[in-house]
Amino acid sequence: MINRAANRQANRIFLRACIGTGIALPLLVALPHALSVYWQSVLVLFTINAVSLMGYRLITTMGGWSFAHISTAGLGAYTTAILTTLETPWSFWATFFLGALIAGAFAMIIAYPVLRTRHYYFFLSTFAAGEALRQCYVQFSGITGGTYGISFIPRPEPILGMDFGNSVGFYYLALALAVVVGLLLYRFDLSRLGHTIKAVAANEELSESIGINTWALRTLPFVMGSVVAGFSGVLYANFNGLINPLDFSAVLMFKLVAAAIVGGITTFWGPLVGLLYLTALEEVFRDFTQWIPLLWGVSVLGVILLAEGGLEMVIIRLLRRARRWWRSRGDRPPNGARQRR
Amino acid sequence: MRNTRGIPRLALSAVAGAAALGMAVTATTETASAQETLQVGAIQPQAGDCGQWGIPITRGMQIWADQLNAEGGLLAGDGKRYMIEIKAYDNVCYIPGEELKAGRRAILDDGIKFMLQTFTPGSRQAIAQMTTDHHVLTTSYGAGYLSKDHPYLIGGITGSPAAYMLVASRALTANPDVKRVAIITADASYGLAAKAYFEAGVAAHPDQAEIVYNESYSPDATKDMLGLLTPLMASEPDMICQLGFVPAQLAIMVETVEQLGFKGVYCAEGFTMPIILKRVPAEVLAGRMYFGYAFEASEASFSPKGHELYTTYVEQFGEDQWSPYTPIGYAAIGTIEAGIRMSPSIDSEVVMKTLLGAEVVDHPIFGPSRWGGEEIYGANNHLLTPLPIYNLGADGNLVLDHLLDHAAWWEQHMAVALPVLEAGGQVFR
Repeated sequence: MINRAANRQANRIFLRACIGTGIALPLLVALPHALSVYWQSVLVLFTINAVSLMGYRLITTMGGWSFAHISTAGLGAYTTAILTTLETPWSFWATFFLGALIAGAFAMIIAYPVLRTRHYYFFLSTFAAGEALRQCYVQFSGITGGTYGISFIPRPEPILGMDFGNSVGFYYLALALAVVVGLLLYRFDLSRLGHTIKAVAANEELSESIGINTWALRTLPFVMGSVVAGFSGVLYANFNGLINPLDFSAVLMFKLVAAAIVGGITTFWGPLVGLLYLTALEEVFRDFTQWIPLLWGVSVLGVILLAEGGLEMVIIRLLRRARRWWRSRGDRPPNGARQRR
Repeated sequence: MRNTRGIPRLALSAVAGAAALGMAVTATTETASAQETLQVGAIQPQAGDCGQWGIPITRGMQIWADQLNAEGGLLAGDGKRYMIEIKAYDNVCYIPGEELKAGRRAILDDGIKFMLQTFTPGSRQAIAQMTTDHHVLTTSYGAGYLSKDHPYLIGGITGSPAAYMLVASRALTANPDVKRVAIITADASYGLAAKAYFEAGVAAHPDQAEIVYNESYSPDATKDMLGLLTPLMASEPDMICQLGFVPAQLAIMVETVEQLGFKGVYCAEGFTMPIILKRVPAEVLAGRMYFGYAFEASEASFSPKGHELYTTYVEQFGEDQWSPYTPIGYAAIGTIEAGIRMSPSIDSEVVMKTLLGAEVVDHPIFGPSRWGGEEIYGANNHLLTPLPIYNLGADGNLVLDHLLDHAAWWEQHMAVALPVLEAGGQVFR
């Protein structure tokens, strides 16, 4: 009975999210037409990073902050880069799904060692796994191009008359992926399974003692999040047209982690707010490229010290205050009258 | 009488007025022409370790612009003068992804049509398509990567990585006793290019020398210079060719191998002597430091115009700040200057076609030079300028060791050098 009520509640929330997405979609579709070519490219990269971040947030729901996410995205990127630049090139669409699958398979393999660790150790072990993977991109140069990387990766072939050769077309591809991934992951987040994963993260021993398979519930979001990373990696490589091991370095990983901290991870949209903030920071200070990681770091410290829970909590508090103020307007006594104690 | 005197006076006044108006209009037109500004982009590292390369290169370009602006602007082939504005973009440390980001900002946002970038092949490839799509004539201090599919990418001077091959070859010619060569390069796109070109330079002397050490290092390894260089010294080289150490690291490298007993010769793209001579005395290194990139402006004999760059730089930044990398930006952008001067229009497409269509380009520093590069890049888009190679004198000043004719060297050694470059992944036909 309780389950059914909870499910209905989740469906209602999800329906509201779908309606909200439906309302926002025409604006998002129109957005690139209001932007210059440069800002269109910024928008595309933001959307690709948003997809990756949604996958990352899913991983954090199981209680661990992975530092291998960007390297895993690299598997998707290298899959498409290698296969679409062969003498007999593969179709982008085949590599799109294959790249994500390979990223998921890698996550499944490393899940066994890294998910045995907790807290800081999980962070460190995923960092080690990610670095090992990145070193593979450097060392297996016969396949990956080593530090040279792979250039001239072709854009996706047109599909249903849609041309992805320009930034607008590519943005629609990234947007479609973001909407599909976003809605699926949001529904998953609201589901009983999603709640159970969070419960396991909150108290793993207690969950285990009542018969929950905590191992499976930690592995599932880790692998799912990595599959999403794989998709984002494929798009990243195809949009830029080149990849290099440095594209999957700790700097970009730090950007994702910083976005999650600055935005907060309690809500589904929190990390996206963080990403928006960091991207804006990057563009405002674009003439000082090498200072950007420092600014990200300062932002993380600022949020930890001044806005616990991230920007999402600030926004939620402001919305609550606005709602209270709005309600209090209705309760206010007529002008001139004083309320009696 | 009054009238007869008045008419000529009126006429005189009218003529004088018209002349004054004409002069004013002419002056206004000239001022307006001179004030038309041409933005030139420079994608280089602007901070951090690699800023030791990128900042002097950008300064060299700025001095180039200042010199032209002081003359009232660059006199283009269309008869107008254009003021030059340099806009710098940071590629962090020649990282291809960052090059692309910087290229997007320069080309897509700021509408830059003339640009200088690194020779690093990965970075050149990163923006190759964008330069083609948006007609951005992009020069570099060398070639690195060129293609007939990307005609807007040009190699502005002999520069990198060809200079590595030529300097190694010259050092071997000048030192017949050198038999064992060690090559050490950074494990990065530019380092891999240098590795192949050093190998090609040594290959041109098959009866004289062999490569006894040939390794790439991770930039992180430079923190432990002794650990990095001990295996190199164990190979007992007579000559060390290196690329990848930033100037301060290179000074430490020289000091370290000297302490380890090295008595042979060095070859590199450039040595920042003020830093090196603080660590090792000039009399110890004299005659052992072969380098050549574009030209060394502190040495006056090669190019009086180039030497002006040195004096201006020293006035602005001080002698201690002088870097052998300053002239390379100055020289490479000179090719675009030559193109604009020749072209009937400053439209980048017209400039590109005029420049590449010219049999001989009158380079402001190197003089008449011809295009080459077909065998390596499948396109003759590399301006083969003569390469002055320098060495260190006992007094601590640089001396011009040799002026090498790139085109003639290539014709003589292509048969042995080209397969080596191909094996090193540097042939892009």
